[in-house]
Amino acid sequence: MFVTLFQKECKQILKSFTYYLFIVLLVLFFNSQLSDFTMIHKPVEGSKNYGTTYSKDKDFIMQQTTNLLVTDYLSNDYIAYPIGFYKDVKLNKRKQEKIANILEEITGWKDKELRKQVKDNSEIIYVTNNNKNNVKKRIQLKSNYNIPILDTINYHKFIKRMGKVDKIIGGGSSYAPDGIYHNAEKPLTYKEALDEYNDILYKDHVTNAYARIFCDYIGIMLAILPIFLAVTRGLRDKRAKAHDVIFVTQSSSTIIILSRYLATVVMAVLPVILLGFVEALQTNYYANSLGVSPDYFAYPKLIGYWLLPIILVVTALGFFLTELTNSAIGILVQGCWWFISIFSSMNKLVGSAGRNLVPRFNTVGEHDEFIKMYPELIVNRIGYSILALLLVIATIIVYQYKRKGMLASDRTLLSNWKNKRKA
Amino acid sequence: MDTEIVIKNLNQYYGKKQALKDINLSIHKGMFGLLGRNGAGKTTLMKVLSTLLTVKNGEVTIDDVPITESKEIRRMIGYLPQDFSMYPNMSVYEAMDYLGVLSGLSKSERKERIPELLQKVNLHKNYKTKVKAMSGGMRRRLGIAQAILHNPKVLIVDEPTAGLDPEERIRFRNLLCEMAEERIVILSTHIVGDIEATCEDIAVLDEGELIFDGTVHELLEAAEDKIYSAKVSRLELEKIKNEYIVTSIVSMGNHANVRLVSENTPFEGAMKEEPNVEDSYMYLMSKKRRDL
Repeated sequence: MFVTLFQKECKQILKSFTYYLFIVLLVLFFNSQLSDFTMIHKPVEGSKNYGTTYSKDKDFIMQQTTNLLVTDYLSNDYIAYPIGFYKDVKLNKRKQEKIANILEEITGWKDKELRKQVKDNSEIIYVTNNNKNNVKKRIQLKSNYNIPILDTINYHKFIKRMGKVDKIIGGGSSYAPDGIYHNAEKPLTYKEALDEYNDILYKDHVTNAYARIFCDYIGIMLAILPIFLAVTRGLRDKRAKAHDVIFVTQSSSTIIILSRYLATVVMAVLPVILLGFVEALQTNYYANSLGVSPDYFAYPKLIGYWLLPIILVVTALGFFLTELTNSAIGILVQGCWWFISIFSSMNKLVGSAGRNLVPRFNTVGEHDEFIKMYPELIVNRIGYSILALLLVIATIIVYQYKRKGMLASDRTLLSNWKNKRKA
Repeated sequence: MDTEIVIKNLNQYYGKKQALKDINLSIHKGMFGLLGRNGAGKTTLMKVLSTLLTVKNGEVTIDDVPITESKEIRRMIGYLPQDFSMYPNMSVYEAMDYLGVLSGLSKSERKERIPELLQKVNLHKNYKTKVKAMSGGMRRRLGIAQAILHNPKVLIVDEPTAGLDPEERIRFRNLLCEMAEERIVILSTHIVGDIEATCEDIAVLDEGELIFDGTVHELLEAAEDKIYSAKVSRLELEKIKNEYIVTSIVSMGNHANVRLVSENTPFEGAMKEEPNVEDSYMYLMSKKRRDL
């Protein structure tokens, strides 16, 4: 019974307009982000430039960040991206004093001393204000000058203080602990560039490096699009007034919900597999052309453990909220979750998993960074898969309640509750 | 053994509002009519029997199986809800096949049963017709076909003829009578004509209470000597309507032929009439109101 029902559900999805919209949006996004194939080039010794990277040297990160904080403080001009949008921040006197205190803890200099030291080692520059089309004045340290940091301040203490600074600014600033490394950009040496190149070839077999950026981009879309499939399926019974007829059939709630859920998941993952296949053809060929044997399982493997949990949890949330509320509120909830997930990881686009629904790895290469992120990614993905399972179980319970008339199947949760109060 | 539904002391609530009050009823094979005004509790009772509402207080059994054993009960019942429909983009055959799978029928059983039932409900030429393209009558017939797909012992039909044209209504009633040859068919309606044309046994519900349980003949007997007709001036009509329960008015120029319910001869010139089911139903309702 389950297999037949599952097949029928897949067939129903194939007839749904929402599904084709899902595919079109996914393909359009894929085309816009991944259609230009980024080639990798072996570095040539003696070149002027091997590209840049972010330094992992903690002292360097601390130094660059302190330099930046001092100039931001003295100019009272901070830049932040709270929930992803650019914002010029000017702090009030009280907040500036708090920043001054933190700077004193790091440098040992009070405000007066700091200003005196910087005065002789800085210059005034004029920069274009990003969103106001005017010019603003800023203090810039001379290139050979660094603000001294007290020996008692280690990286851990420093990060803690930067967390406070970020909080004072309002979040999403250059001092957010997980993005602080962005302040320490440095040019790559020939050796580093060659190591990076070799890692892509021999550790990633080329394909893994490209599969990661594929997952990075497609994950963004999969964190929102499946909700439409789930909500459409959940509301179909109500819209067709078919719920009572289905409720009185002999099938168990588990079979009904599971067949619908798995059909939605499978139909959502199918176009992803196809897009992955298209990408894999290209990268396998490219790997061969570079004389490397490709990892033929790179795409299926990463789609399986990276992207599938996103589809599982988004679909499960959609099913649960739609069954619970008999409304499309799941779209709103998932929309908020998606927004928060995407913009909260803006500070770290490479190697961020944490508790984020959409892990980011927006680069080709950086194998070591991925290896560092891997355990966190696996814990994250297992966590979301478990959450999906719990949501599916909760959906089955809600559905069972509805079959027994303990929850209305044709009213929203709110009107259901109002009705009960009236009665 | 004949199928039997037994309802004992059934009380059903929506929050604090009591929808069914101490219902005791026994239903046997054949057509059983459940009559009552809108909001009388008919749909609540239908939903209890269909396992769509959990019994809060009382006891309901079908062939000695408690209604709480929903899995077993669902095997025994077929249900056609008031506003039956299916997914609009499904064809008639697909809808039947889908519901057949949900009802636990194997592929071969579905292959055999579906054409047979569609023939029975006269939809055999509409296999590929989409649900969204079907008329109200066709949908109801599809509803009946799906409800007996798994050959249930009990068929529960809630307000099936509302909105149907007269021809379709008669066809539908005949179909129900055919179904009732092999099983219990419970027909819930507020249209007295449907009951009169199809049922032998009936129950009348009013404000959640069972106010009559018996045969159509017994219902008619109850209104014996209580139905009168008279030719009255149209000017007197308003007064008569205020004083008596008028079951029909036929206008004829300045006069009107009225049919009314009265315990005694209402006025001079009124003649006793044989009651029909509608008269008897109106008498029953008026008697209940007087008792209150």
